[in-house]
Amino acid sequence: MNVTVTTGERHATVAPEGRLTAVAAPQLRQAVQDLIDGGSTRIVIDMSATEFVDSSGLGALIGALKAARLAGGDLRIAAVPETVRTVLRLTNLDRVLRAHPTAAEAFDAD
Amino acid sequence: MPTDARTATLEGAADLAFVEATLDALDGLYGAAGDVDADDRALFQLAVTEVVTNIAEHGLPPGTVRVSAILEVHPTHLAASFTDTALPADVELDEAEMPDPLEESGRGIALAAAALDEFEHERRGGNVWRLRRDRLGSARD
Repeated sequence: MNVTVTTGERHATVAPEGRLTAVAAPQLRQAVQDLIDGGSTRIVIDMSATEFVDSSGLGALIGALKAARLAGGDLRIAAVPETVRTVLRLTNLDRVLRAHPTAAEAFDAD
Repeated sequence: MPTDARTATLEGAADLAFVEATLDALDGLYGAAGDVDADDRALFQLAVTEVVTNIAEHGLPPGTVRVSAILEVHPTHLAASFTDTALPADVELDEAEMPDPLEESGRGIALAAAALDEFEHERRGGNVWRLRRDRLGSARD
C-alpha cells in the first residue's frame, strides 16, 4: 500500500492506494499524525485509488478524524468508490464521514 | 450448466502477511471466474478479511498460531473456511453488534455477519470458521 501526502494552502491531502486494511491502517494514521504535528489540521483523504476498506481501515479513518478535530481542524473523505461507500453505509459511518465528490472541493463550503 | 468451483488453499503463520496472501488469492479466483458481481466480490472480500485479520490479531497465544484457508468460487455462491490452531475463541457471531460510529474498533465480526448468508464458528481444538455468501441472482439455479 502506498500513502501519498500532498500539502496545499487550504488543506492537505492523503491518498491511500490499494487496500486499506490492517496492513495499511498504521501508515494512514501516521501520515495524518505527521500532518497534524506539522500544523496541517484540515485534511482530505482522497480515496480515488483506494480499492477496498475493512474495519481496520475504518478504525484508522475514525482515529484520524478525531485527531484532526482535537487539533482544531477537520478530516473529510473524497472520491469514494462505490465499494467503499457500501462499507461506510453498513457501519453507519456515512453519517460521520461525509463523502465529497473530489478532494479539491472537500473544504469548499468553509 | 457450469458446476465447477474454483478453489484456492493457503496455509501458514497467522499474521498480516497471511491476510494479504489470502486477499491476493481471492483476487486471483475472482479474476479466473470473471463473472462475479461487484457487490458480491466486495462484500465477500470484506467478510474474509475480517475473519482472517481477527485470527491474525487476536488468536492466542500471540505469535504461535497457524491457519489454513480454503477459498471457493462456485456458480451459485462464494465460500471460505479457516482452520486455526489458536485457543478456542470466545465469540458469539449472532450477538455481534455494530458499535457507535466514533468507535475505532469492534466492527469486524458484525461486518462479516452483515456480508454473509451463512457464518459459523466451531471450537474444535482450535477454531473453524465457515463463511458463505450466495451470489446475487443465483439462488434459484
